[in-house]
Amino acid sequence: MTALGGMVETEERLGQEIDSPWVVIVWNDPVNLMNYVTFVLQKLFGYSKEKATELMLQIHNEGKAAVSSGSKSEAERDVNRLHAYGLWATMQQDK
Amino acid sequence: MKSPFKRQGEDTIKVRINDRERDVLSNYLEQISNIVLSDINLSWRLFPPIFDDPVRQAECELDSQSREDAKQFEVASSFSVSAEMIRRKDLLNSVEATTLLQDLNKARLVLAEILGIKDESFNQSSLGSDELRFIFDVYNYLGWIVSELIETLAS
Repeated sequence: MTALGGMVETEERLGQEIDSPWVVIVWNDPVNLMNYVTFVLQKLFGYSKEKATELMLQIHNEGKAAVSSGSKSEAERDVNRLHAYGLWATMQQDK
Repeated sequence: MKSPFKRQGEDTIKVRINDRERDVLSNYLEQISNIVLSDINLSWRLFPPIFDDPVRQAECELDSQSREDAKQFEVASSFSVSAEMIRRKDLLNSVEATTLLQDLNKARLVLAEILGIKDESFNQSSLGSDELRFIFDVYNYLGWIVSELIETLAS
């Protein structure tokens, strides 16, 4: 019973891990220009200038901002696209 | 000061940089291409970690060493293409202009590593040699070019 219970728990945890979305985070850095970060967020995610500027300011003032979320493969694609523009981006699972 | 770029139609950017300056820019990009190929310590910022979690990142690095090497080569090749583009082309389409923008920005990331720019507290008075002060001037010059290109692309 305990073992079965443990298996159920493990399966539930695995299920949650698979289902939980991944979040893409852009980190502040002292090199990328503010207008460059805004431009990249508009270009890659189709955000309006206002939305992209808001995210850029959050990155600048708070050190980071979540810029997109989705499945693991979607997040990985977004991180790679951000890296191609020289932005410091990582992904983590939303818990 | 006249902007080095001007939009000319929906998908065309005119490059308004004189020949001498084109040569200089092109040479910077070629030199940085060589750095990317030869010194990962100076170009690591072009290949940041994918995962926040160090364990996941370590697993990812174990799986993808050959892909990382390919990325390094790809970035260096792109620098060479942009170097040639800025040397020869008077008109850029939006894809070319965006590639140039990416490479100029990446060039700044490499120069920042050479200069030791780690955070907002960096002070240029800490630069201890004429060579580093020169690199800082190049870093600022590339920043101006990047800004002007963004303005033009967004216009």
